[in-house]
Amino acid sequence: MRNADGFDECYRSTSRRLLSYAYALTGDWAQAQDLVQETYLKAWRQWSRLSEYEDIEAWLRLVVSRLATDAWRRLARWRKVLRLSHPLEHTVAGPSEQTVLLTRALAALPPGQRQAIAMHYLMDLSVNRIAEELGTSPNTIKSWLARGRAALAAALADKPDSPMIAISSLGCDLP
Amino acid sequence: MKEFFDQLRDEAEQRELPQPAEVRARGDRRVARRGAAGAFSLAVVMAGGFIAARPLFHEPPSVTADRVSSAGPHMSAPETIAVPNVVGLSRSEATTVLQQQGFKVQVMAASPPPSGSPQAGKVRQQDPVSAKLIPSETTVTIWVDGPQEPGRVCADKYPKQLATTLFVKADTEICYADVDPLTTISESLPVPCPPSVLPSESLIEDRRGFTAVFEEIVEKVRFPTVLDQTISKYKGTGAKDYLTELAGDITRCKSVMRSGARIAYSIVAQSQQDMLGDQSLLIDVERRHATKPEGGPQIANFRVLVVRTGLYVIVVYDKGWEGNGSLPGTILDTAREMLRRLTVSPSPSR
Repeated sequence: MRNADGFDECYRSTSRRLLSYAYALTGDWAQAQDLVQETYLKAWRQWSRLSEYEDIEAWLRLVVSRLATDAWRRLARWRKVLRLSHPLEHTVAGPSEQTVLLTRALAALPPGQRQAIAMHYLMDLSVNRIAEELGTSPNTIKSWLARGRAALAAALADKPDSPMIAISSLGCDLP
Repeated sequence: MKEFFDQLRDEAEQRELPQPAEVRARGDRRVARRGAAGAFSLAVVMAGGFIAARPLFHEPPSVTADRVSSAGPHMSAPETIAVPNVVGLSRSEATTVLQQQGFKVQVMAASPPPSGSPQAGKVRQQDPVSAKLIPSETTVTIWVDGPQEPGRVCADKYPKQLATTLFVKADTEICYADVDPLTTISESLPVPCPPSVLPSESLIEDRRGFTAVFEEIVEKVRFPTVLDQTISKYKGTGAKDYLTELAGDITRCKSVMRSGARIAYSIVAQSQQDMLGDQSLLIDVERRHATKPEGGPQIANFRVLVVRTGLYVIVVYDKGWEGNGSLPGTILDTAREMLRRLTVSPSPSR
């Protein structure tokens, strides 16, 4: 039997983080919200099995990544359906200029680099953990992160008066 | 770099996400729809005969409780699941869907509504309402509109000689006399300006239609959806006139209030040759309910595809599922197939 309380607790503690991750991958809040909802729908469907996992968030992240990379187009109908049946209140302002700049810069990165950067900065995962989840070596991840950060720094620094201009030594703070 | 990501995180905190209970309810409903799809198709085919074979209810709800079944999966402790929406389904369809979820079903006869035409044999109300989380094995009560006489004859006067094979699926025959365009929102043909009758109506030689459940696959999951298919055969210029008059009425009336909902029609595409047949019209029908209806969205959009070929007019009216429209491809493919069959063999034999 599925434990609704366990699911609710997991949802409350992980959904916001997952939303920021989904946004970093897609660059669109509405799409990110859809992906996150879809991910938790899947999670609830198999919650009795999933609740036994040690790291449920890793599973959720994997689903979001997959949906974001190759399945989101198929969600187009569900986006419409969910909006019609449960319209979101658009009381929140659009993304800030800073966030728009960041997502544009992220969108220009190769998918692997983008994912690694998002996992590192938004999910606070170590290089080893990212490597494990993405099925590659820690050295590759280090390289992706370094290249990704360099590319982001360059893209963000192009913006006049951007705080990124001042950030020259971009986070060599890898664990 | 970190401050950019911190800002993103802050914005994520402000974004709307549904409550976890809502997500669970939605997930349960999706599973219910998927589970119901197969059984539902079968149930719809059987529903006509089943309902016709047993008289429905004549007494008020308080005295006609009819315990249908207590069947449900055996569990040591009942699981909490969301109640599926069965309003609008026939008694047998609703019973099948509910039982499949492990609920017990109690059927009551609904009293005639103060206004409007009841949909004979259809569930008008349910308790608990859809999406409510309750333990399985709980009894769900449904109120079914009645009465429906066994062997009841439809009051419309069309000869109905058009072959059933012209329709892609022929689950339940449509009775055009059952729909009052002034009160009923569940129409099989668009009526943008009720009660006005189009002049081309007088040129109809025959008209026949079927409601059918189709299957759609979204994300590898099968979902049911409902389409009404109508074929009308006209005399003289009737078919051509119908499309012209319909387009004219849509422009003239824009929207109409029926049963607490504002129905707005708009033409999405109009073609003399390019789309389908000799002439075609793609219409959007928006239903905007004053209050959110049980188990469905407050604003729902459906498409109607009207295709003329010679003296015939095909109308595929999307009914969707739980207030959600069908996929455009389902509507188009259905119309295309009907057109093909009509072109190959429009013979008026049964």
